[in-house]
Amino acid sequence: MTTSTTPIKKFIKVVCVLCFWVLVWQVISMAVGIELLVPSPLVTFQTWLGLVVTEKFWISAIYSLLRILLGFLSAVVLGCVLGFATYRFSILKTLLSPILHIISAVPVVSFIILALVWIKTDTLPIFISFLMVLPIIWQTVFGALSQIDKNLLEMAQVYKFKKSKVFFKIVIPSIMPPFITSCITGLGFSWKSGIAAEVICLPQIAIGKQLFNAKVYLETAQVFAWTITIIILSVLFETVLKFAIKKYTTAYRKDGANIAD
Amino acid sequence: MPIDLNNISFSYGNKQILKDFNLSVKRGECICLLGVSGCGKTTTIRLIAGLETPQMGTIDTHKGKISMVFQEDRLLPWATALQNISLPLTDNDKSIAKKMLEQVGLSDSSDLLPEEMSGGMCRRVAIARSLAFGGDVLLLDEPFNGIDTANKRSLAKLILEYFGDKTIVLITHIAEDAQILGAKTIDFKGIN
Repeated sequence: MTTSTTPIKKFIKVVCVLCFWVLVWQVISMAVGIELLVPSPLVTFQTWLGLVVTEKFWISAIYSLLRILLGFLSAVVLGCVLGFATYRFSILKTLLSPILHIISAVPVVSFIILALVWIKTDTLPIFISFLMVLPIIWQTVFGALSQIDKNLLEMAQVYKFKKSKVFFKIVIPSIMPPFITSCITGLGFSWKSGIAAEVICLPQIAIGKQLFNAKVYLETAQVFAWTITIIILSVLFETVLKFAIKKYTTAYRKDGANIAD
Repeated sequence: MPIDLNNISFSYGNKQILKDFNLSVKRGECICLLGVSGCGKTTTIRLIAGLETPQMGTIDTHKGKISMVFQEDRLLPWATALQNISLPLTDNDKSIAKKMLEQVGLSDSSDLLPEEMSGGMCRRVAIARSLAFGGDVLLLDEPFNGIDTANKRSLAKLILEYFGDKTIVLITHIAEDAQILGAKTIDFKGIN
């Protein structure tokens, strides 16, 4: 009984929270009284519906999505490689740590403006998404590797585990929880930074460009509608990522002893 | 397989743990290093297992296969009891692991994760893992921690069933543990 009602309760809770904030938005919009400054939820929804049926909406969304996803995935791959490499070779860590600090400390806008000089506008959002996610993944993988339980590694040494077995049975499960969290955080960052880059560098087809145009023509309702689109896409991708990870971890636990023997 | 430790000296930083220490264990012999906590028993067993290297002296285990029960259970938290036992087996033979689990009285707990088991149950899984791995030498570091006397006796019987004709080195501070394994007791004082 409990298990069947929990998802419904959760759904009702989410809907209630959503209704509350839409209500707050409506109150603010009514208090301001100027649609140009704060459009009401209804006007924004109508504008959004008007956008959804256009070809421009879908093409812009797909292009932005692909750019951000490409930047995110490249950062995940290279972040893992660098995390492992800097853990394994301390000289690499010494050599590359200034880069890590620079990327973490410099504001994203500085990077966007700098990169505009060197990179084509269509590829700049990919680079910026990549750059913002890279240190998150890199640091997480390095930190997680440093914190692997040494007792388990000693156990593996006594029981003569092969290197592949140590990797798949101890290393991967040990780093997975922080890695998953960093991926989810990184995905949010890649959306924020990717769209920011699009707004500044204005690629031909992009959500960022539509957002910029809406702002220029004082179409505040459209700015809100595009922002909602970004939120929906971001949440959608986060949900897909969480679902994929859950599937993977469940399968890993179920077949844990059979992997990489 | 015999074990020979000759003139072993070992220290952690400035703290000397062993000095000119000698130990000889014959094949088929079961010995117990009995001593208080912190006297260097665990260091000795770690040296035999190859987890530490002595600063001086030689250790000869005659290339025998060594199995070990650590002071801590050292089970993989994400693996079930059955998976933990079958992990060290090269051919991942689940039937051996299942048999071992049954022999330590945990056949109903094969799908439980370590966090879902009691301390005593985890200890039994750790012992089962070492027995399933087999070998020529069995190193036992406080193996019966958290286990009641009745279970200690049945586990000791099981250990002797698998390693009775092989070499066993037990370290403990409880004399009773040595008795139930029928071990030859050596009063271990380290360098103190």
